[in-house]
Amino acid sequence: MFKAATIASKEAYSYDMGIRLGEALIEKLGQLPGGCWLFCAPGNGLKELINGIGDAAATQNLIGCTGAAELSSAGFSTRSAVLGGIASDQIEFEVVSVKNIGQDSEQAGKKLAGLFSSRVRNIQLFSDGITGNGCALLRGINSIMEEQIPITGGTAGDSGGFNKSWQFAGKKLLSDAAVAIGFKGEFRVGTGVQSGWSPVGLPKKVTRSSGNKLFELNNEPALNVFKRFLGKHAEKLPAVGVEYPLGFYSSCGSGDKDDHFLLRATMAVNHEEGSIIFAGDVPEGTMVHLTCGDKTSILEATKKAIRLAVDELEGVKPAIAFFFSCMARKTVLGQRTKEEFGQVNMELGKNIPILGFYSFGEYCRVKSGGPCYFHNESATISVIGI
Amino acid sequence: MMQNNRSQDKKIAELEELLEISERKADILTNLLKEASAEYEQTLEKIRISEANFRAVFEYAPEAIYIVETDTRKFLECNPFMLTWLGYTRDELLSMRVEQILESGDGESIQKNIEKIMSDGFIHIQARRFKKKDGSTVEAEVTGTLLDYQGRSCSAALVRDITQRKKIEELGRYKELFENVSDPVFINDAQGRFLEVNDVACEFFGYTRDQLLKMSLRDLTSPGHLSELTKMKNKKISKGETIQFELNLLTRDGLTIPFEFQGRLIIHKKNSAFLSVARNLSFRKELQRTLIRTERFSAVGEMASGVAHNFNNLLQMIMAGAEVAKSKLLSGKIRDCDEAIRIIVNASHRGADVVRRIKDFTHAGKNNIESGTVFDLNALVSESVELTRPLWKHPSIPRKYQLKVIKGPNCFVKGISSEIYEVLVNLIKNGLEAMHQGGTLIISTYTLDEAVHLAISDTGCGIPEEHVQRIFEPFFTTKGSQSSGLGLSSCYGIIKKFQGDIHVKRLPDQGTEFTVIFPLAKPEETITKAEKILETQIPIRFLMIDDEVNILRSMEMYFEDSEIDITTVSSATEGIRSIHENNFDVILCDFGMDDMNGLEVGREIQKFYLKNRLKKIPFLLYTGLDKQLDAKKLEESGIDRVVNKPTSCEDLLNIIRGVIAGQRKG
Repeated sequence: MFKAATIASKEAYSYDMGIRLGEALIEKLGQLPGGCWLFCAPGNGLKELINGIGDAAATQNLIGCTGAAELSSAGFSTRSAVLGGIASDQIEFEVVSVKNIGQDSEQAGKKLAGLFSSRVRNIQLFSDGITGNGCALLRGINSIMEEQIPITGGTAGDSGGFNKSWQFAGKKLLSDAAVAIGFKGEFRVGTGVQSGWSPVGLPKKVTRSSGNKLFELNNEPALNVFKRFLGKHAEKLPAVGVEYPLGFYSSCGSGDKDDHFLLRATMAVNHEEGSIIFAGDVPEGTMVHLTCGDKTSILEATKKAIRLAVDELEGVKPAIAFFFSCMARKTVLGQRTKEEFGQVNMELGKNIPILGFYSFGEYCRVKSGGPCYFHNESATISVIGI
Repeated sequence: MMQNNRSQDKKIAELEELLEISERKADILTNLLKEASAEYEQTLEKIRISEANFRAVFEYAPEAIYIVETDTRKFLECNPFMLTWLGYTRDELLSMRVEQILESGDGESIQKNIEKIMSDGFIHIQARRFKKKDGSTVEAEVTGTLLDYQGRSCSAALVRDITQRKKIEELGRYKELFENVSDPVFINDAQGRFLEVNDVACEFFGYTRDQLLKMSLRDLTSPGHLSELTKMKNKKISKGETIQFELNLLTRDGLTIPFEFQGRLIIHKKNSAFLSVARNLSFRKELQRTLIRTERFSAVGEMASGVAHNFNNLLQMIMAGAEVAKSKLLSGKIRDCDEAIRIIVNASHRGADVVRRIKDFTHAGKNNIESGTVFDLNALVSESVELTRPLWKHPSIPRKYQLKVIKGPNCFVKGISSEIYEVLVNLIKNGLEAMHQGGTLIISTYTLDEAVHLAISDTGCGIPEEHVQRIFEPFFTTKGSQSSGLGLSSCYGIIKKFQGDIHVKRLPDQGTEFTVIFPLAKPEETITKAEKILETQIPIRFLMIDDEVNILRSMEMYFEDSEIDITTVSSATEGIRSIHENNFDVILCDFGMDDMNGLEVGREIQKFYLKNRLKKIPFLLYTGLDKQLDAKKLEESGIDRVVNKPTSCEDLLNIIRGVIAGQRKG
């Protein structure tokens, strides 16, 4: 038996609102949920909201975070709260969390992974996108967990304020934390990730970098290189860098020609150093390209990602789809952002519940059975099939 | 209306946004394109320059460059130098495979090389010989690398002709050789003229470099070795062959030094020449001589126990004879007594012979007479058979060996008998040693075609075929460390010295036969024993000085029946006093005495005669010592003659009579 449902609301956050949301979910599900997801914009009364939901749903398995926009079966929304739930006798859930990821994300990842039981077969991860290092967090997790366990998710944001983001685990309202939910039981998972940006121009070598800070390209200050590309538009950095992210080929372990092309979005610039900070690590020695994309290619990519996820199910019926897209895509798509949801709907069918949010960065594997990577500006989807 | 406006405004805003985005994109893409274009141009330019450089190097390099396909080993490209160097046209070479221009034998390694490049990426420098179109070969160094050329996997090679360099190196090597070797080094032309000599050669021979360069090897060769030199000159030497030969050379001071030459043909200033290093053999030859002498002594040593046995026998005979004589005398049986005394005398003679033989044998080679004298070979054979008796007739093995001697008539040979004696002894010894289990040794002499043949055959183990050629080589031996291997080689040397020859033959059944051949000599006056001089009536006043009382006693007893009026004294001092106080006709003085030796006595007496203006009396020195006494010393001491102990009383009597007779005549 498997039931899933989503509820969306634009009401102000309060305990009562939480109760109402929770009860509405139970009604839709017809029973108490085994696991709940909450994605919402940051705002006052978050703690009360969570308490309300938790009391109403009578579950500790509540997970979620703040983002730039929300997705539910009702569609694309901003400045809202969406609550989703799964009730099933085939799937059980575990919720774990770890704090202070800003200090040492890798260590935090190891700790987080260690909290899961061995029966967990699928993980969704939501971490602080402002303080945490997604790549490092993944490294920590990957060093403990088996590579075949799919990890999907995204990093929490605050609608582009870059001040503070929130993560929810049970009734805990956390920040600078990583929260994760583990799926145990009988189910299939299909994942897909695509961006829609393509490399342009000649590649350049990262001659000096540190984590997500890029100092030099071809022994030249990175900022100078970017200014050359962007010309007069360089004034708009880092924002314009979101439209033209940096990209490089990851080696997916097999070293084949269809290496996945990872993107990195500009987050900040330092004019004195001539350096640029990205939303993900840019390793030294990597050959990077500037990339270019448009609305059409972005939406095409969304479609492709969904198809990849469904294909991976190999005929097993999708039961619920989790869609984690990027704030950057929202920026580029603008008015057409809701078309992403349209793509998901179209590909999966209107009956399949959809739940997700627009993040600062996405977690997803690039091939079945392969390790999880940290992406920027990508559409990631994970479909549970029963 | 307002709604329409609002929606229019919205649309305009959207369009404006789109336009902005598009403009931005256009700008950025244009910038990227510009950059790409610039880089492309730069790269093209780099390629153009690189191409031009490559072309320049390729076309004008003073070394050969070629490219071969790694699979087929066919030439794909080569530079002009390669063509001129090997003498092929471009079409010819590009239709060939690389192994066709390498000297045979190098073919397999080409494949290995190519495999190596493909794994390493480059060949290390290798020396290779290349074949030119005209068939000649050149030495070169090759280095190469892998590259893609015309879409094919190829190896490119750079070839450097090192013929010149090798020549210079060789010259450099010669220079080193010349300057650093401590032996004389020469370079001669085909006529033997010196083209180059080192400092050592100049110093050694006592000439300046300029002087030597005006001379030839012939000028330095000792006259006796000119024939050797001619032989060497006529000898055909092949390229790369090192030859060895011995040659005696003369220094400027006239010193003859034996040298061993080691040399080979070289190219010196474009012509064929002979480079040689000469090693002074003086030391080695001296060493050989010493070794031979040592062997001789050790040979004597081998015979020592036999000799001692011999002496014991003789002593036995003498003792027994003396006792018999005594008893027969007492019992009045004079004839028997005489018989016994004869035995004693005989035994004493034989003892003297043994001593003499050994002395002769050990002193062989000390004689400075080059040509030698004529002597009877048969007599020498007998002597050597007697000397070696302890070896073939040892009491412990009385019947082990059979020795047969067959003497032919008139076997007279010219040479130094003591040296040829050594040859005989050596050959007899070798023959006996070859017969471990015993056997027969046959020695025979005969004349044939104006030559004297001496054959010594044994029934021993024989000499293996492969050794027959080598037995006369110095140091060659099959007897292990016990033998110096010099015995037969010194025999060979001695035989050759006297224009003889020696052959060795393997006998059909078993054993070996050595045949020594000497030119037949005319018998000259032979050595005679002391002639028997008849007794005269005139008494001879004879003084004998010897500290051995027994000798004096027997002399007194012997001489009392003759015309010799003998006075004996047992010390040098007494002797001198006696001479001062008495007149004597002849004096015999022992050499080794306690108070003074015979030479000192002689000198004292000389002074006495001179002082008193007296006529010198014949003064004979009586000595049993081995030492050859210096003729000058003898003269200074007034010694007229040396009488060797042991000398029989009869011989002494004859000597005294002879001396007096001579005096009285003169």
